[in-house]
Amino acid sequence: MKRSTSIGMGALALCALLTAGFGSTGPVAAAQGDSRSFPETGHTVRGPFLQYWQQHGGLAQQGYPLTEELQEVSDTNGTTYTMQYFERAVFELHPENAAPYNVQLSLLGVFGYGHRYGVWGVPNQHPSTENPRYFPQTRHTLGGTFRTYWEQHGGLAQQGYPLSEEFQEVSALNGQTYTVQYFQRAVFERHPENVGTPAEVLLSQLGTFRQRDKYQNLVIPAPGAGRVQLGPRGSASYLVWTEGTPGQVGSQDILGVNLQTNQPLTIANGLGDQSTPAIAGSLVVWEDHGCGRPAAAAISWAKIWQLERHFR
Amino acid sequence: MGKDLATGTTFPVAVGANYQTRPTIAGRSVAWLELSSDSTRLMVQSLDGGPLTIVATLPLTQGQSDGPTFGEVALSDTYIAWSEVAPRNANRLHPWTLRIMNRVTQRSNTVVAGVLSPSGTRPQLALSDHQLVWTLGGVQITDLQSGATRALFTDPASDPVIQGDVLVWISQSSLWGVQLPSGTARQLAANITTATSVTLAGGWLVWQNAGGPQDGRLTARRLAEVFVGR
Repeated sequence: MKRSTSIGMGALALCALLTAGFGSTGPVAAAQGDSRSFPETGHTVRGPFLQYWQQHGGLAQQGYPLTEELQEVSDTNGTTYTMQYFERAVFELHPENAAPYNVQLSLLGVFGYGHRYGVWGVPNQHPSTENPRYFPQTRHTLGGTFRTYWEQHGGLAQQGYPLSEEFQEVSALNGQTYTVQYFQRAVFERHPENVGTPAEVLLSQLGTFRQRDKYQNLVIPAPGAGRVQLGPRGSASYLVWTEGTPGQVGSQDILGVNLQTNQPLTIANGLGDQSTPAIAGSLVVWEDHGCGRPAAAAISWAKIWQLERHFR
Repeated sequence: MGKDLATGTTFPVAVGANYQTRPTIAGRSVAWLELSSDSTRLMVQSLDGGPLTIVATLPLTQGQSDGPTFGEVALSDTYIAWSEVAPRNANRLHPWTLRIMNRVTQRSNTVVAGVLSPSGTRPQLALSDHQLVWTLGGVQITDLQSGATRALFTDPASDPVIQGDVLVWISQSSLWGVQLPSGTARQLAANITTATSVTLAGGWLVWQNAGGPQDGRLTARRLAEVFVGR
C-alpha cells in the first residue's frame, strides 16, 4: 500500500479546507447540468457519482477526481463495476441498488491495511479510552477526535468499521510519526499541529495511491554503461538495489527509486563499495566497504572469508 | 550504514574495529553479523537506542578454516531467525540448524536440524511477524507461534520473500509465488526464465536477470497481474 502521511498531503487537504470550506463542494469546478468538470485534474464527474460527491463532503471528503468513469473488476468480489477514482475514495456504481445505495465506496482501507501490514495486522495496538465506542463487528474501538470525525463525516457508510485501534505509524514519505487508525474505507491521521481546526484529523489519499498502484508504471533507471543491477530489495514505498561494474572493486553503489513518484535515488555512492541493502519502510541499511572502514586492519581476510563463504 | 529515504538523513548502524556484514532490518531494528578476532556474533539493535543484543555467538578457531559459521539471518518485529552450519562431520556433511529467538521473551530454540552436502545450497530465510519461510530443497513455512511446519513447494527453490500474505521465490530461474494462508504455489509468469534474485516492492514484483536480453538489469511486473486468477 502506498498511503500519504506527507506534508504534501496535509498541505493539500488543508488548502482544500481553506478554499472550499469544510464539508462544502466549493467553487472549484465548472458545473453544467448533471456534470461538473475539474480543471485542476482535467476530469469530469457526472450523474450519480456527482450527486454522491456533492452530498458526501465534496472536495474535503472525497478529493478531486483522478480519472473519468471506467470499467474495473472489483478486488472484493470479482464483479465488473463502473468506477471513478478520487483522491480519497473510489466510487463504485451499483445500479442494482436504489439511491442512495447505488453508489458505494471501494474498501480502500481494507486493501491498504492488508497491503502494508499483512494478515496479522499491527502489533501493540491500544484501544482509545477517550469517549470510546466499541464495534463488535470488527472488535475495535473508536474514540476521541477520531470518533468525532467519524460521526460527523459519514460514519459507517463513508468510513466503514474500524480495522485497527489507534497506533503510531511512521510516514513512509516524511519520516514523521503520526497517530493513525484504519477503517474499511479510509485512514484517519491526527495532526497535532492543527489542533482546534477542522484539519486536526486528515484523511490519507488512499484513492491516489490505489490508482498509482493499479495504473502507474514503475520506471527503473537503466544501469550505467558496463554496470549491472543486483540484489533488489523493496518496501511499500521504495525499491533499492546494488549497482556496480563486475570485477571492479570500489564500483558498487546503492541506488533506488521512489515507487510513489518514480524519482530515481542515489542512496550511497561513496568511496569503496556499498552493497547488500536491506529496507523497511523508508529506512535502508547496507554494508559499507569504504576506504576508511576500520575492519580490514583488525580482522584477517581469511576469517572474513570463513564468515562469508556460506553466502557465496 | 543506514539512511532514511524520507528525510535524507544518513546514520551509522554498526561501527568499530570489527567486521560487520549482512545487515537486515525490520521496523526500526537492525540485525547483522559481526566478526571479531575470536568469534562471530549475531547482533540486534534498535535504531532508537537501547541495549545491543547479542543473539548468538560462534567461536572462531585459530588455524581452522572450516569452523562453525552463521548462514542467513531474517528479522521481524517479534522474531529473529538464523541458521548455523557446523564443520563437516565424518561423512563429509555439514550439520546445520535453523534457530529462532523471540525478541520479546529473549527465548531461543531450534526449529529444524539436518545436514548439508559441501556443495549443496544453504537454507535461505524470509520472516514476516511469526511466519518463517525457509528454502532447503523446496519451500517450507513454519508458524513460530504454533510450531507447525508445512511444505509449500517441493522442487529446488531459493530467494524466498514474504510481504504481508504474498510469498514469492525462485525455482530454476523462474518466479513462483503463493497467496497465504491457503493459496496454491504457482508459476507467476511462464516467460520469465532468467531470474536470479527477486523482491516485492509496493505492488510490484521486481527481479534481477542473469542472461537473456535483460541480463544485468532489473525488471518489474505488477503483482496484481502475475497473481491474476489466483
